[in-house]
Amino acid sequence: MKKIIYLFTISILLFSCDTENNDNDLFGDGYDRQSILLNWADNIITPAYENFNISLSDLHQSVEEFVSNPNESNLIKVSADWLTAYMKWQYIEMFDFGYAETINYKNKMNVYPADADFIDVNITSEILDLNNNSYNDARGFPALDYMIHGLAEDVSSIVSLYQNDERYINYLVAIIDNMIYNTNLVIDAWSDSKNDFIDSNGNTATSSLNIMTNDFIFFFEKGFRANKFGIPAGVFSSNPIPNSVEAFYKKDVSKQLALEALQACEDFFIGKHIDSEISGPSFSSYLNYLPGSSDSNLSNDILSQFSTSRTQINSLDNNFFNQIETNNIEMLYAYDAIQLLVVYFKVDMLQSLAVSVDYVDADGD
Amino acid sequence: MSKIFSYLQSNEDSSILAVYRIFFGILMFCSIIRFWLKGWIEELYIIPSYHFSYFGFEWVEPLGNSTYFLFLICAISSFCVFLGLKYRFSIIIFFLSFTYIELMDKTTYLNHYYFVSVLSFLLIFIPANASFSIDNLISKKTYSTVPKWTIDSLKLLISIVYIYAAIAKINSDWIVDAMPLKIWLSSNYDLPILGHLFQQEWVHYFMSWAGLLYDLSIPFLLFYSRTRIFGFLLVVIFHVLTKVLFPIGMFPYIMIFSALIFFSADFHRYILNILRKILNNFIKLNSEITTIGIYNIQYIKPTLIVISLFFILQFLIPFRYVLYPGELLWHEQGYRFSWRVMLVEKTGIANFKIVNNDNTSFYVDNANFLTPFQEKQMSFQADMILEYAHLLGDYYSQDSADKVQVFVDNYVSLNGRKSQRYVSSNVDLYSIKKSLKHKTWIIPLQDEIKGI
Repeated sequence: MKKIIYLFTISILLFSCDTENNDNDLFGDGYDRQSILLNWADNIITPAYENFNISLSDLHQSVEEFVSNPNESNLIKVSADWLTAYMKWQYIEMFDFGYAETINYKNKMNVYPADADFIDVNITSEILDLNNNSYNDARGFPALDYMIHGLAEDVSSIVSLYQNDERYINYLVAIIDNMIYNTNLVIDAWSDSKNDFIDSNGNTATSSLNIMTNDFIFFFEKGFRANKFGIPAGVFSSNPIPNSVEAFYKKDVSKQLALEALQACEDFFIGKHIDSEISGPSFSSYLNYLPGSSDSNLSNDILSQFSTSRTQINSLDNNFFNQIETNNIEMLYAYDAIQLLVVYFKVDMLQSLAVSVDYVDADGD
Repeated sequence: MSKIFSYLQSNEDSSILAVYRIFFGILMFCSIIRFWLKGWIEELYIIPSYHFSYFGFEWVEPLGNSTYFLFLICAISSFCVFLGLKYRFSIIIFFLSFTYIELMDKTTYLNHYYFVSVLSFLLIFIPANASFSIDNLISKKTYSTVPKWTIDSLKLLISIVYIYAAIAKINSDWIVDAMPLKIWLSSNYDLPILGHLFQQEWVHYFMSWAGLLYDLSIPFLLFYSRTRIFGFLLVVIFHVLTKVLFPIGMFPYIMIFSALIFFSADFHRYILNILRKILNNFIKLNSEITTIGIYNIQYIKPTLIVISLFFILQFLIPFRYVLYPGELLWHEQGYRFSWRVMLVEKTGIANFKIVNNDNTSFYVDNANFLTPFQEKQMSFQADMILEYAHLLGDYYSQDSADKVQVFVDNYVSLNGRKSQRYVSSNVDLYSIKKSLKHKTWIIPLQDEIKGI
């Protein structure tokens, strides 16, 4: 008799999908996942792209002023706008999906360290089309860093290079043009695909939540943890590689950029709107909603580890190059604090969210 | 004793084995073709530069591009099994090629692949070509009955799978916490209607408990003729449901068809008659075939000894875990080959540190050595972590006199628990020999799972 009840109930479970109407309110786990996608799309991704685009136009403008009138104050203006745009860039590097992924946007914008010798060769041989992927380390922000701060010892000698040799001007323009060209492509594609992004609310490897979760974790692990800390501090090599810090030629902003990237990740985790103190649905609220068998609150653990990491990074030299050269242990402590966040994201959060990840789709049992 | 003797003498309709052989052959053929078409041969066996081996089977490796040839042999042999063409030879080739494929890389271990391997081994000793086979046309002989024990041994193997799967579920994670189904079911939120139901806690418990009762009762329901149809209905519903919910491949179909063997001879004769009618539309067979009453197995004594040993091993192997202290679901020593199906949701991360002789050190990027799938599987299984550590040690050591040390920074989360360290971070894994001994360097689970 018991079995018949089981059979009956299971059959209802199975066949009810055919008989009842497919009301969208009954769709999902009671948590409105689409609200996360909506929040990400409208309040984070779109405004982050807009902010970046504005800062990039400002940079473009100051480059043009410098080009028409290469002097020290114009170069300093370029440098300041370069930093502003670089800060805004930290908020969008993680959106490595859709067209951005297709054209390898992040490699067009921020592969460091830049290859100074390669850039020098490009300048003298007047290479102006930088869109081919063989120019990864000769374009984007790191290449601009070299062009603005690294061509010579001091500002006046750099300016005189631009004054005396047009090829420098041409290469500088080629870099910024390439950045604008690709940024426009990505932003246009995003506006076209935004609604699809919001509507793709399933749980398959190609659903928005799954893609964004993977991208977020990938950026945190690779773009943030490894590139900004691990590689220069020598975590992945026998000896430290201090000149692979971000913004190597500007020298004193690597900490500032890293802190901004950490902020971008934390903001994204809690769903904080760009340029506003309001927070919407995101990982943190979703994790709080999901039932977990563990007593501790994962979301709180993650937030407290964010703050531990920030404290650790704050204790470092403004210039990571100096920090690594003088006292690399502190740099490694910061790396360890960040690594614990990676564990939280890749192990605890991925298991709780149970999102399909883009591994091989082999069978399970 | 005389009872056993008379049991061994008793016979059963050969159509039961014929139907089993036909379904088995065609399903295996489809499985191999499906595997091929999905591009998994390349993805799982050709692209990876390194493969995880089973202890004692380190010599079994993919054969480069010839791996396709291996799959081709496997597919052809399964098709010959389906036809009943040179059956004994074909099933031996199938068993060998399929088992070789499964031994090539531990990463892809699945209980249902293991099931196919042991089942095809058993089929070597069973005259599944006694009737309705091409072999009958060649030898001009067909047999109306076969020894009953040949059919019963298949039933026994299938029953073992279900019963052991049920026993494995008797633990507090499954029964008290409804884990890992709680995680898996709720992640299916995008199914219409069901997606909503799967968020309800009572559904998680209902499915866990029903699953356990199902595994426990199915062999008995199928055994008795009065409950057989009901049992079979449950089999179909259960496996269709798992097919909808989980990426489980051909396994549901294999289990559904396997349950048919419990049905009566009349049922199987009926199926064969349908097939015969269909076939008659295409070919007319005029050859004279003699029908012989009883199929006599040659070398009956050695055969019975092999099969008895086979089943003794099947009974014992799943219980080998008692030889290892600690929590089985956590350390997984003695976990494989035991019908522990869908018991754990594990996620892990493993970063390896190479320490040179001059005390400088660096972490390895796993992507340089492993595919994402291999890395994922390795990160929570201790034997794979050790094997990979040895690969890294060999790779980074200049020569045998100048060995590096290999440490791992490793966290694992089991069934929704908070992650904790899995393998001890201060043990030089490169200095540890691979063996089946208890791995003392696994940090015990900081929680208790009660049960078997």
